[in-house]
Amino acid sequence: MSWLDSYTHRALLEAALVGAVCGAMGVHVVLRRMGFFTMAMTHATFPGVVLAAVVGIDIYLGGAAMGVLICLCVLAVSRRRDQGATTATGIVLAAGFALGVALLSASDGFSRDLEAFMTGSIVTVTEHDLAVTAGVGALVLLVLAALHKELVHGAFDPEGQRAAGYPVAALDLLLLVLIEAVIVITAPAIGVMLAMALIVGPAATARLWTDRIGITLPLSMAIGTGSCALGLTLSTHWNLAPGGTITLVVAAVFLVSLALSPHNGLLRPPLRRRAASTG
Amino acid sequence: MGSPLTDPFQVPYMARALVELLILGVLGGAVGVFVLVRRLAYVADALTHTVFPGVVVGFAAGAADGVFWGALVAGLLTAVLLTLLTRAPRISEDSALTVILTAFFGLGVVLVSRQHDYRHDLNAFLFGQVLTVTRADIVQSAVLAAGCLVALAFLGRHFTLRAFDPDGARAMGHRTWLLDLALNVLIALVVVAAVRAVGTVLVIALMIVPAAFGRLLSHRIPVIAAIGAGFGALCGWLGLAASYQASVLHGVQLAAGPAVVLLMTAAYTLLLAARKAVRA
Amino acid sequence: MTATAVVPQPRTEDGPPPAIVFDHATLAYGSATVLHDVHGTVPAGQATALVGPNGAGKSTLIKAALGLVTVASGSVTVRGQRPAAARSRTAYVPQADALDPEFPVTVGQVVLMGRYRAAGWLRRPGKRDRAIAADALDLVGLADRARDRFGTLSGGQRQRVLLARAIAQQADVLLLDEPFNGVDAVSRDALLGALRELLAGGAAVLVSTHDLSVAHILCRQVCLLNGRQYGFGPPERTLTADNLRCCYGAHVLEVDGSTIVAGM
Repeated sequence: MSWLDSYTHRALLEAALVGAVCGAMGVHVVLRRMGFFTMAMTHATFPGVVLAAVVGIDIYLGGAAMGVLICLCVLAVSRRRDQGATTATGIVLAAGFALGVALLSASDGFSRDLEAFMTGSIVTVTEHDLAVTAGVGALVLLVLAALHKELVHGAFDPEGQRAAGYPVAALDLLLLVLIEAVIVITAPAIGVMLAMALIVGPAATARLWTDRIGITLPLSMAIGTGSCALGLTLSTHWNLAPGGTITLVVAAVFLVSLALSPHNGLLRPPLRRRAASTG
Repeated sequence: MGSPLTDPFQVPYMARALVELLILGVLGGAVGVFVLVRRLAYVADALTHTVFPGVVVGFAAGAADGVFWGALVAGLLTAVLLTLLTRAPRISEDSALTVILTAFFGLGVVLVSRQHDYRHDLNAFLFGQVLTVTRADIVQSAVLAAGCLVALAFLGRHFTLRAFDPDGARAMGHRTWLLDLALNVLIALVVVAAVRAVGTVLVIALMIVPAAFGRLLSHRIPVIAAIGAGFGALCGWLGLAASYQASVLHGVQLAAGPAVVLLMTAAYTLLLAARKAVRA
Repeated sequence: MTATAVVPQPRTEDGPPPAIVFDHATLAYGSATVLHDVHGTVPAGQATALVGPNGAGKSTLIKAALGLVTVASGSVTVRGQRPAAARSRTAYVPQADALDPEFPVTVGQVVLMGRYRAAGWLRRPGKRDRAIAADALDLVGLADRARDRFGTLSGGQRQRVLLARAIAQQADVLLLDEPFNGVDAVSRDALLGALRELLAGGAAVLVSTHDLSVAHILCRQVCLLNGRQYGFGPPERTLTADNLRCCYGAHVLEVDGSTIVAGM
């Protein structure tokens, strides 16, 4: 009997893996202020999942394909200056979500897979799911590590990067695909909505403690893994929805950091805070 | 007999649904223009999710009537939190919103998991139940809408000034945080008025797409608001009729909310393409 | 006290009362002090130039006069009141470049914004407000562009529209943040003309600028800044080669007898 035969062990391993990968990915999402865009991607993934479920192909593959496709539309619309990226993102989010719900209503309501996709079911994670998470997660981490300085450079100064001859559009697209991959491997565990929490929360928390990206990255991964493990333990203890509990732990860690962190915390010198809020 | 655009509404519940959608369409278009110029699409999206725990608690406490009050409390609470957190220096607004949004939604999911009728709640939250709208619901929405429109009539120009030139607004003695709070509360009220009837899907779209459509046609805020309101109401009507036709006559289940949204986004895309073609 | 000779006193007989008084004011963002010990008076009916390199604290000083920056020590008074309390008497002209050119607003609406405060929170700007706004736009020479979108104007024209908005506020004190930056010759002349008319009407003007020639032709006083005050007084006494060299570091050259600052 292997360690992985127990569903609690499988769930714990899945949570740890997902937490680490989301934490690493999130650093780039937070750095580029792509929270809303990532949210739109999760919504845009939705119709793909429904369609895939109706047609009968792998729902995560279908979701990922649709998500990337729709996000390319956002990039196209946001090139129009009078519409702006926020509006374009909002429209795509609404349209993607509506398409998903329309397909869902046409295909006779929730199936089990779809419910899992929305809110996750980490306790039913199979060894196959674990293998997929580990494989894709390792690939994502590998790419992030290999292209770390290029991605950070692009986040800080896209014009300069373009001037230096880098394929900026290709890097942006790569980042999109990576985010989509992370969403798709996280969704079975805690659901597509709450995957957002795990991508942005730990990275934003880590940013409160340090300005150095070299430290943010491991810190964010650690916070992600820790929050997942803690949330899972609490949820089994009190019989709560695991995805929701993990999200609440992530938010609690963020709020505590907000209060205590040296740079931004509510405990920093009062004069400094007053001046900063008026300036 | 008459046309497919008017016939369905001789059935009383369809007529009520139409009135509700017309009210919400006008309201969404009018508030939406400020969502557009202040770039608050994410705030609007966040609010549609953060009312979820309120809806759950409200439903548990007082069934259908409790939903409104639960959503109202959750919505107002979020509006205040958003205003506070987005003023904190050095946290990007984007991250702050994501954390608030997911925390509230996660709370909703946890609360829902303690109850039995899980799918029903989530379903209702996504789709809304526009076909079961009662006369009292319509009155509630109408009162909220009237209140919001009056507030916009008085505050609209101040919102514009604050969006256009925040430093200038402060220099003229406006308290910008107060204006931000007021706008966040207005958005929350729209969400609360709409979410039970039309579901989260339609609420976000109602506040974003009509204003974006109007922006393509005009650069004057009152005109954009008027076009947006008209467009929202028109799409509400046509979408409802289409949903009825598809469901009743052709046997394809098409929920009203998504039908309206898809119609709006299709019209927006067409206009965008048409303008590109004219310019080229 | 030996310093009494330079303490600014409200003059009673030999001129109009001061519009802004900086009394050893030190201004800070957070724990970082941006500007030390500014001391001087901006009189009514005159223009005062704020001159200094980028990051010298010119915008900070303007924001202090609006009550938007905390004064860490000393004081800033506008027409005898706290700056925040005197906001109905002051008008601020931001840099046109800082505003979104895609914003859906017409030139006429931007100028009318100057009347919002006078009209009050709940009353719409009326006929009289519209007439005042139209006159202000006429004064900067853009009356025919009222219905155009703000963003379709050139940078210099946008700056003139923002000045018109300040004129519409009918304030006694005008605070302008780099209005001549990247402005074409036509707009520059229009701005100078409108400002001269306001000065003749008794307004006080505090204008930050990179352009020393503007300081010479428009202003009777110059405040030379870089983190602290290097001089506050008439241009011929403030803008000396020595003062400029202290303020700007080594980037000061003398060409044909006039001082220029290079490498800003």
